[in-house]
Order: sequence, then structure tokens, then C-alpha cells
Amino acid sequence: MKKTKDSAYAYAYGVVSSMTGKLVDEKTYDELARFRSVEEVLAFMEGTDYEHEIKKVVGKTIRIKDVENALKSHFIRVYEEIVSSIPDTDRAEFNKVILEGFRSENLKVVIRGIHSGLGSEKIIETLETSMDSKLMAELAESKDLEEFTEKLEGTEYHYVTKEELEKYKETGDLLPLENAIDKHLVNSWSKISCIEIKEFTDIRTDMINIMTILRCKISDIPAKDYVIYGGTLKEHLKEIEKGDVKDVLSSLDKTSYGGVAREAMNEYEKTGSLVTLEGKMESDVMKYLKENAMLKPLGISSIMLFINAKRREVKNLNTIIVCKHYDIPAEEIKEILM
Amino acid sequence: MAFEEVLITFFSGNVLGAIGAAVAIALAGLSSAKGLEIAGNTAAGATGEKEENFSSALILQAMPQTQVIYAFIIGILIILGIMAGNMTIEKGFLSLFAGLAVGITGVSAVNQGKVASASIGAAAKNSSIKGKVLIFVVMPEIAALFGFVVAIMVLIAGSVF
Repeated sequence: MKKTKDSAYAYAYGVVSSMTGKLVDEKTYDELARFRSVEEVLAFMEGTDYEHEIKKVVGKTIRIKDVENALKSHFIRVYEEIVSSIPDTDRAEFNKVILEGFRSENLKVVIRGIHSGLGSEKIIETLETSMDSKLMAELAESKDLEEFTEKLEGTEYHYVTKEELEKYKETGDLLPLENAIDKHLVNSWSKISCIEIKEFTDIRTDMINIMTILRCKISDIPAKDYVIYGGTLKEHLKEIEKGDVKDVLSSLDKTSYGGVAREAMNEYEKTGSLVTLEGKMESDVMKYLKENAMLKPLGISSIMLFINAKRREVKNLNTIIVCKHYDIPAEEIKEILM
Repeated sequence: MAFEEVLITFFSGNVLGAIGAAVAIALAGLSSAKGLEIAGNTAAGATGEKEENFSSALILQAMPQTQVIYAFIIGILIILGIMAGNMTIEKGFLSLFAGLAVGITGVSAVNQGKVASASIGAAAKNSSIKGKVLIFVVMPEIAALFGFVVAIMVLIAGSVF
């Protein structure tokens, strides 16, 4: 395990701080939501960091798809700029966490979309911005999950999904396939040597495990086949996976995820569902990054926090543009924004 | 040369004074360089991304430089004492202590560099706090300033220069 020197992230911290200063704030979101047309929103964006990409889509008949692609291109450009500013020694590991994370999320979105017969267009709309949108678009066009697995040939996900495809065919449950992707993701993190990145991946692993165990409990499937023995909860996983949903949440209460577990328990007792848990866990990860970035600004947490903020901004701008295209009132737009 | 002679030569006022000046400038210089490296990298990143950050980044980045200036002044005063030709062993020891005081407190430049770096970032995020973050960067300076004042007083009390 290696500890990164403070000076190593000083330049990247300067870059992301400047970029953070240029992020769209809440007040501007309010104004954008009140703009009358897509053209007005684009005219505003031409005066921001998005200028380079937006200039390519204005001046001709504006197509929403082009604007969406411009926003995605902007995110990719910013991401590449940030990655080029972090130390060479951590760059590969950083990419492994962020890009593999995006890829795994998108693969699961595509799998769910194909399974529920959503149609390629809808699937592509729900995908997160990533570097491999071409592959994802191709995958989204698969008529079933068998074709999806075949299209993955040549990638490292081919083997892992092919193995679990039979289980899916037998049960019709997506868990084996999604879990295979998660396992592959966590395994790809096993050789990470930077302490700060490792701490982050451990928390992500916990998040995957908690969600998987609860999903197994709700579907009444034994969790032990799907649990990934790693993360900060490694020692407690055997205890956590025992019993029913309530037992799992009670066991979690004794860990650092107590706050989230208590909220989830309240929700489960009232509604019998855990739909908001994933969002809460995501907020917990962000809280961890914020605290870390405050204690050690010259570290990887500040960078990860910014990437997340930029993704949120791109998503929100995309939402505003699509809503303006469909003449959705400002108040409704504000409610949809993240 | 007998051991006694070596000891007498080594502990001459001039040698002790020179060690004091060297320790002061070496410790503070190394620390200032490290502090400037950290703050300078952030300043470069912030300015590269947004040119308007240059002025505030420059002021904040320069702060860890002061430690080596204090050490330089103390070093010069000690050398002036040596050049005056009346550096007794007692004055030599006082010079050494003065050098240590300013050199060791000068290590604060490393931490000041980290604070400066974080402050450059904070000012880049929100330009309205440029003046406020300067106060945070000045705080670690106080240790170095105390070291400098004590070193000067030691040199004055011992009539070194």
C-alpha cells in the first residue's frame, strides 16, 4: 500500500478548485428552468465552460440528441483534463475505479432495460455518461440477454456474464448477471495500492454488498453465493447475511452504516420497501468524500467529489434542455433536478 | 592534531556561528522550498484553468517564502558578527541557538504551504473569500515570526553583530 504525498495532488486540486468555481449553482438552475426555450438555454451555455461543445450544435436546426451528445462530450473532455493532472502513479488506478464504475453501472442499466423490454432508445436515455457510449448503444440494441452477452465478446465482461446467463435463463432473475458484473468490478480493484483509492473502493464494495444482501433477503435467495468478501465490512459479512431484512438492518446498525440502516429500517417498517436505500447509501459515500476532502483537500477525495458534481451538473443541464424541448413548466423542472 | 586541539578549533566562536547560520538557512530554505512547491502546484493548476485566479494565487503561494527570508536575515547578522572578528565561544553558541530557533520554526513553511494550497483552491472556488483565506495562511507564519524575534533578541543580547 502506498500513501500519496500531499504535493502530488496539489496541481490537480488547483484544477478542480477552479472548475468547481465555474459549476452551475442553484440560483442559475432556477434561472435556466425559467428560460423560455432550448435556444435560450444554449445561448446561456455558450458563455460558460460548455462553449466549445455547444458551439458545434447551435447555428443549425437544434436536435436534442446533438445537445445531449455535446454535454456528454463536455464531461469526457473535463474528465480527461482532470485525469491528466493527477499523478502518473495513481492515474491507472483512478481510471479503474471511476471508468470501471461507470461501465459496470451502465452494463446493469442495459441488462435491466433488455430484461424489461424497454427498447434501445429508452435504455440509451437512462445510461450514465461514460467513455464507452458506442459499445453501450450497441449492447442496448440486443433483442435479448443472450445477444447482449455475445456482443460483449472481446471484452472482459464476456466471460463473466456468459457464465451466469444459464442461471438467468433458469430463474429469470437478473441477480446472477448483475452480481457477476459487480464481482468483476470489485475484483478489478483488488490490486489497488493507493491507500486513499483503496479506502474509497472498500466503501463502494460495502455498498454493493449491503444492496445485494438486502435484495437476496427480499427475494428469499441465499445471500452467501452473491456476497463479495471484501470492503470495510469484510469481518462482519457472515453475521450481516444471517436472518431476514430486519436482522440485516439490525446487524448493520452496529457498523459505520448505522445511520443509513436506521433510516432504512424506518422506511421498511412503514412501507415494506427499501427503494430509497440506494440513494441514501450514495449520499453516504458523498458525505465520506466531502469529509475526507475537508480534512485533506490535497487528496483524491477532492477530485472524486468534483467528478461527481460535474456529472450531476451535466445530468441537470440535460434535464433542463429536454424539459424545455417538451415545454415542461419551470416548477416541475426544478422538482426533477438532482 | 590532538583531540583537544580539534575540540578547541571546532568550538571556536567562528565555527559555531557559521554552523548557526548554515542550520538556519538550510532548515528554513528546505521547508520554504517544500511549502512553495505544494502551494505553487495548486496555484499553477488554478491559474491554468482560470487566469483570473493568478493574483490571489500569487499572494498566497508566496507566503511560505518568508521563513527563508527570516533565516537569511539571521544568517547575515551572524556572518556580520564573524566578520567583525570578535566572535567568542559564548557568542558562537548564542549564534548557534539563534540559528536553530529560526531554522526549526522555519519548518512551519511546509505546513503553511499546505494551508496556502488549500486556500488557493478555496479562493478559486469562491472568489469573494480571497481576503479571508489569507488570514488562514498567515496563522502558521506566527511560529516562524516568534522564532525570528527570539533569534534577533538572542543576537542583540549577546552583542553578536
